[in-house]
This record gives sequence, structure tokens and C-alpha cells, in this order.
Amino acid sequence: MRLNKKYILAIISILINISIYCQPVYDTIQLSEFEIVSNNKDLGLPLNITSIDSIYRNDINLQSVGELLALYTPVFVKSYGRGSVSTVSFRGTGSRHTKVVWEGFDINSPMLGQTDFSTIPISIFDDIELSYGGSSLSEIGGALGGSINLNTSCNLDTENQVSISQSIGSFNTFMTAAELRISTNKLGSKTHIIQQSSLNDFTYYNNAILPYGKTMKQGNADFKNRGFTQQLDYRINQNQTISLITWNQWNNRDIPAIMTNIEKGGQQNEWQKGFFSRSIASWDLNSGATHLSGKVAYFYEDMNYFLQTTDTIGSPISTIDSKNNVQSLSLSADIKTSISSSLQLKGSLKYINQSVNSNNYYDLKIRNIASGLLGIESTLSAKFRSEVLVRVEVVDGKVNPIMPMIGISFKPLDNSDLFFRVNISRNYNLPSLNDMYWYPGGNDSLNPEQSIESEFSMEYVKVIKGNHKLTLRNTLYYANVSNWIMWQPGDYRYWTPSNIDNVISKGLELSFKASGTVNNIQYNLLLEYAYTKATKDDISGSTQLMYVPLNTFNSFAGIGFKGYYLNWGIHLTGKRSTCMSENKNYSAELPAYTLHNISFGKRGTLNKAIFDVKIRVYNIFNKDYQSILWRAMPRRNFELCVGLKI
Amino acid sequence: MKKGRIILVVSLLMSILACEKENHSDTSENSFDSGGVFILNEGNYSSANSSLSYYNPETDMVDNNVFHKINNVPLGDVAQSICLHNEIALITVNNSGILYSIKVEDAQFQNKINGLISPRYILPINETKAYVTDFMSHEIIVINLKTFEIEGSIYVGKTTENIIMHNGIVYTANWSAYNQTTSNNTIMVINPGTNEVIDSIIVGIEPGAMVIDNNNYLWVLCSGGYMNEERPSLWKINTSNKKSEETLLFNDINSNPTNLCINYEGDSLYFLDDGVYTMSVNDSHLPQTPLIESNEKTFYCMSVNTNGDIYLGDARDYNRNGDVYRYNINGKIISKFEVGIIPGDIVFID
Repeated sequence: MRLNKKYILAIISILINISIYCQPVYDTIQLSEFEIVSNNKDLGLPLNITSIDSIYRNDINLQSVGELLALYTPVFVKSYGRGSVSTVSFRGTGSRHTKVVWEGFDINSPMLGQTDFSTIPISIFDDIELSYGGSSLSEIGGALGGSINLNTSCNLDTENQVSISQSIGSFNTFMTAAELRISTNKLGSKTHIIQQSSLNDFTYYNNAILPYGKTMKQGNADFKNRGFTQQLDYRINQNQTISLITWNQWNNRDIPAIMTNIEKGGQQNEWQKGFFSRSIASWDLNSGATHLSGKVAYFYEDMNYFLQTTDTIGSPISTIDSKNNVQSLSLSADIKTSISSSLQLKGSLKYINQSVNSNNYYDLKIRNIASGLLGIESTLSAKFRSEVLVRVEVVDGKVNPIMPMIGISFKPLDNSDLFFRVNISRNYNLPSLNDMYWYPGGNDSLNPEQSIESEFSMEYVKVIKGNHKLTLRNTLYYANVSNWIMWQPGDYRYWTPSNIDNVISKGLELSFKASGTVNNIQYNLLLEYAYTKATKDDISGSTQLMYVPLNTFNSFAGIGFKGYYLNWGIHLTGKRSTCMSENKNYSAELPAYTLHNISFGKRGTLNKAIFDVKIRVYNIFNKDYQSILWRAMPRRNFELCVGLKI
Repeated sequence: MKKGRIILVVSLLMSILACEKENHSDTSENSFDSGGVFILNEGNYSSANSSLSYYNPETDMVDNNVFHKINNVPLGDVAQSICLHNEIALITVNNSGILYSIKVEDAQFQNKINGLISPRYILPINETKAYVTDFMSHEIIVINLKTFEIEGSIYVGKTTENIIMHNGIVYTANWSAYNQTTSNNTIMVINPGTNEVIDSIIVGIEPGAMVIDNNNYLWVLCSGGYMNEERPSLWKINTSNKKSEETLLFNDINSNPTNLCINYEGDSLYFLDDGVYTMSVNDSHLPQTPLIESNEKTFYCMSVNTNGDIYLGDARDYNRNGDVYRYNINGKIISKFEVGIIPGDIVFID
């Protein structure tokens, strides 16, 4: 599409007038109500990796990846509310066992070992993948639960385009995204801008204080995230490209009191401010059957947590001002080559230097990690495919045990897309730098956490009469995580971590998708169910881990006709234990809750522009619920979204 | 879509909706008799899972979460201490900034004072007045027990923790230096008649629990500091002249003795240092052998009743419900029962 100057000027004017940052969210807006970018690239592979279909991303495209994963995948998202900390765990493992990989590099905080998913906007990425269990070893080591892989595509030889998306929601919530893509055969540029802000002062029913029950407004829960990414791709010649991508973001949030603490005296001034800048330069060479790439990445992150308590006249009496700076420099080299049509080899070398300067550490702490991966993917026969991975890590000169994975897929019927898959792997997760160096309490003699995992899955894809597609994917898994790191009061007053727990996680993931067209009415259905039994075994028995629901269920049902569409999502989170005891005392178990969200909209064209206008209603049945014990959550709320692409 | 499929989908959705459970709303008809024991469970910081347990030694039965069951709201975030005064139990909920008053006989909510900053311990001075110490504020809050309102404050200049009264004089320990610039090695002496600080006594770092023995000596147990800055110490202070007469130093700077208690007769001291140790108030050296070994248990609180029975709260791994162990005066176990998360204070109902 040729870029039209008038449209660009109009859009820039809008942006200036509403004084907002924008970014490309509606990268898959199409005239069709359900233009689903859902390829079957992962079908029948020995690894268990899935991509999130664009239809789900588009449904909440201005939100965070945390919300996307909570609504449309079987992973469990522990969220303290929109804009607050949101962590993700696969299959009953901990949040630090979920690695987030952006363009091949781990973006988990080396200090915490985890990522706050509320600070990752969906719209920045062209593809979001989930690698389950041992399959994550193809991307990264240490993801005992799995990894979330965030990818942006190369921007050469694509159409020039501008897109913006703006939402206005309840509680003074404004979300903006804009994208500008300019591309030639030689050079491509892609710029994203995002802003997310909210007062987040929703009304809720506080049943945690006496006199019993009071409708209140949430306070001190506002947030504001803004940032941009810039990607430049340059084609050196037919076989070689170089790319530079940078992702910069400022995240500010106030932290609300829990429901029992809203009557505390003095004043609590609690907030968190952060800034990160992540940049990757890469070189790619495609030469026949061989693909080579080299990358350099530099990540910089500042995080400031502040809590000040004042007395009744406002004078500070206690202050925590935690300042943390993390920098990491990474180098990587990858090769992938086809020896024959049935045999592919891949290898990867990576070096990471992490340094942390924190007033919570005794001094500057540095960690060096070198890792290597060797993989063999072979088509054994028309029915069997296999992949073998061996990953090894050297941490500060110490060689950790190897991390192997073997996966086999089996296609029993020649004329049917029915696959069975078996995976077995061993994985190690390094202690976080907080685990090792937090002062006081850090324990630098911790061992890595180890997992032995296995899974068995079945996939079936059936296309009926050319326009109905059914996909069924079921997985059974079993994982034994030993040396699980846990913080407890030690011999001294302060808490200290140690490798004490052994966790067995086993469960079932069921996924069913159907999509198609009947009499010009498009439909799309998703049903996702996960059963997760994750127990810690010790002398007092076997108990389900805290905040790991046995049952979760997500569904999405959408219909579209002549550009109008209606989507309905149902999300059930089963009861969760809030303590590790077998004997659940009264409030030690949070009840299950079900949330319903709907969106209704219209997509169409206006001259050469594609527009999308929708109203989205969250929690339509006005449910009072708690995701985390005594953390207030919003009742029914609304959002109006407008998207435009030229 | 065929009808059968529509019915299937609708049925599935209905079954999902039917899966939900409502919040608890049952109430208990318990009555808490004299001779019983209240166990206050701290819960985890910022999790608001504090709770109150009641134990009947005669029946060996325990009733957990009684505050929530009877009053329909959670006790709050980090319940720190419980104090019985006449027919009333006073409970400080530290991170919620609340002081609750409940009836002892049935745990029914009576009143509350909110707006406190970080309440820790309560000391009833007389029928109308009580002091509340604070972990962050440099003031002791004076409350009126009749109106249950804040009546005033006493500027101490430091944070305050345990508090005790003897012969009309109040002693309070400056235990915490957390996020403070002031020192934490003193006992402040207060005249409750005038609500004024009248003296201070220098002791070891982090003075915690205090008891008065049958010779009118004030005993103060000092842990040596959060970072084990010095060896823990036990101080014997003459209440007449406010001077220390003896200081017993613990051998191991890394030890963390807490929970100084005294028996009904006032002649035997007890404290926790992994296990339970006891000594006579006339001893001039610290005991070396525990009366009760911890045996991998995490003893976190202790109280000794008038019979000499020793009640020990075991916090276990701080995430599970804790246990309370009841031993006799000779250190022989009588019973064990499960309570809430991190049992932190135990009081006996007269």
C-alpha cells in the first residue's frame, strides 16, 4: 500500500491533539471479522510449542501480555490487579521457572529471576509463543515450567503502513498504541509507541473490615507505562541482513494497600518506578541450507521501590528506598543447517555478563554465564520425527550438569493430521541474584533447581468441507522439581533461601478450537482446560502449592457477520489455597470465580483506511472476587477502542 | 450449528457457572471458658491471614479461626499480641494499624481503634487507661478503655515494643531500629500517672521480653541485634534504683534468644534459644542444656501458665499452619494441636 500523506498528517494531528503516544496494535486488522494468523508451523513437531492466534491478541490488543496469557492460555497468571505485578507460571511451577525470551534473549530480571508481565504490551510483538516444559530448552535453559517467546518479524519488503489504536476505559484508563512501518527492498523501519495509564480507582466491596462490609474506592493504584520500540532492518545482499532493535519503556505505579490495611494510621507512600532499555543488533546469513546468525544485546534496567510511612502529622518515620540497577551484555552465535532433507542440525553459543548494583546488596555483583546448545532434528520415517537437544551452562567458571531433551512425534495415519508426541527432559534453573546476594540473607552456596520432566501429547487437526477447521490438543505431563529454593527464617533473625523443597507437578491440558463459516457468518470457538496437581512433599504429607488452582478453564466464542463481530470470553479460576497446610482453616482457601468479558465491534474500510471500533465489557456480571487474598479487584467496567490502519 | 451442539455448549457453560462457591458465612456458637487458652497467629506479612485459635486444655480440643468465624471478617495483617483485661481481649494487628477489643467469652467484636501506625503490645494501666507500643512511631499511644478512643500519646523518641508495669512504674523496651536512626538498646521508664518518660536504662541491643521476679527485679532479654551485632544478653535490673546488677552474656553471637517468661511463683525464668531453657532467678550463669530440645521444630513463641505448663508455638515453615506443643513443668509433652499460620502469642484465660 502506498502511504498517503494526507492520512499521515491527519493521524499526527490526532496524536498531538490527544497528547498520547501510540503504537501498532491492529497489525492484523482485516476486513474479515476473524482474520486469524494461526499457522500450523508447530503441528506435529517433536517440541511442544504453540503460538497465540492473532484473534485473541486483537481482542485485547492494548493490554499486557499477562492479561492475554490469563485469558487464552492454560498457564496460570497471578495478578495483583491491572497495572500491578503480574507473574506467570506453567504447570504448577514457580514464576521464576517461566522465562521470557525476546528475540532469543532472556528478559527475566536477574535479580528476581522473573518478569512482571504487566509491563509487556501485547502490541509490540508480531508473534507470542509458548514453549511448554522441556521444549523450552530449544530457546533457553532454566525454564522448568516453560518459556514465553516474544518475537518481532523482519520488516523488509512489507507494505508501508501507519496504524493507531486508542482506548478509553472506566477508571480514567487510557491506552494508546501507534505504529509506523516503512519498508523498501533494502531498508525497513518499524516504530512503535505505547502508553498505558489509569487512575484505577475502581469501586469494590470491602468485606475485610468491621463494621462488616463497605463499598469503597480503590486508592493509590494508578499506573502509567510509556515506551517505544524502533526496529531497523538492512539487506546487505540477497543472503545477508543486519538488524537493530531497541525497546525502551518507563513504568510507574503506585501500590495500593490490601483490604485489611486501609485504615492504617499515618500515611503510606508506596510506589515503584522503573525504566528499561533493551537493544539487540543482529546479523543473519542465509546460504543454501545453512542459516547463520550473530547477535549482540545490551539490556539496562533501573528499578526503584519506595515505601515511606509518616506519623499522624506527616513527618516520615520509616523509609525504604530500594534502588536497583541491572545491566547485561550478551553475545550469541547460532547456526542451523540441513544435512539432508531428513536431518537438520542446530547449534548455539551464548555468553551473558550480568551486573547488579543495588543498595540491597553488599557490593556490586557480577555473574557470567556461558551456554551452548546442540540440536538434531530428524525425520526418521514418514511417521516418525525426532528432536534431540543438549544444552550446557557454565556459570562463573562452574559447569552445571547437562540439560538434555528428547522428543519424538508419531503420525499413525498417512491421510490424517493426527499426531502423538513424547518428550523427556532434564533442566536446571539458576538461583536469582537476590537469592544469592540479598543483604542480609542471601545464600551464595545455593544449588540450581533441577527438574526432570516428561510429557505425552496428542494433536488432531481436521478440516471439514473446506471451511470448518477443528483442532484438538491434549497433553499429559509429569515433572519432579528438586532443590526448589525457598526463603525461610534461618539461624539468624532475617530470612534466608535454601534448597529444601521437592515438588511433584502433574496434570492435563486440553485445548479445543473450531473455526469456520456458515452462511456468511464466521465463528470461532476456543475451549482450554488445565488440571494442575502440584504438590510439595515432606514429612507432613503432600500438599497443593499455594495459589496453584487445580482447575482452570478459558473459553472464547466469537461470531462475525458483515464486519460486525461479537466475542464472549469465560474464564474460570478454580479454588486456590493460600497456605501450605492440608487442613484449610476457614479463609485459607480462596473460592473459585468465573469472569465473563464481551466485546462488540465493527470492522470496515473508510476510503483506503481500515477501521475497527469496539466496546468491551469486562466482568459483565459485576462479580466481586479475589485473585490474591484480600486484594481488591474491579467490578464491571467498560472500554471503548478505536483502531485505524492505513 | 446444529441444536445438539448448541445444547452441548450451553450445558458446558451452565456447568461452569454452577462450579462457583460463595464466601464463607457460617458462624460459630463457641464459648470460651476460663481455663482456656487463646493462641494468636501472626500470619504472613502482607497476606492478611492472621487468625485467633482457642484451646481447651480439659477437652484437648482446639477451635481455629474463631475471630473470622464469629465476626465474619479476617483478623487482619500480622496480629502481633493479645492481652486479656477483665472480660475483654485486646488484640493489636500490626500491619493493619488496628486495635480490636473482643469479648473473651465468645470472641464477639466489641470495638476497635484504627488509624494506629504499627501497634505492637498493649498494657492496661487501670480500668480506664492502656498504653499501646509502636514499631515505627516514636510515641506510645494512650487509649481510654471505656470509650475505646485515643486519649493522647507519650513521646518516647524511639520505637517501643514489650511493655510491663511494676509498682506503678511502666517499663518499655526500645527493641527495633528498623529504618530508624535511633539506637535500640534502652528501656524507657514511664510514670503512668503523668504519662511522662522519667528515666531510661541502657541494656544490650534489641531488648525484647521483660519479666519481674519475686525479688522485684526486672529481667530483660536482649537478642544482640538483627544483624547479630553483639552477643545476646540477659539483664537483671534493680527496680528500686533502675540499675543493672547483673548481665549474663550468651556464648554464641549467632544465637537468637527470645520469649523470656517467668513462672507463676516468680522464681524460674524460661526463654527460647532454638530449644527451651530454664534457670532460677538466683542463678548467676546461663543454662547450657535445654529443658526441651527443638528437634527440628521452629519454636516461635512461649507462655507458661500458673501450673507451670509450658506452651510452645511452632511456626514450622512459616507457610503452613503452625502447631502448639504443651509440655509439663518437667519438659514432658502433654499434647500437641494445630493452629493457624505462625503462632506468635499465647494467653491463658483466668
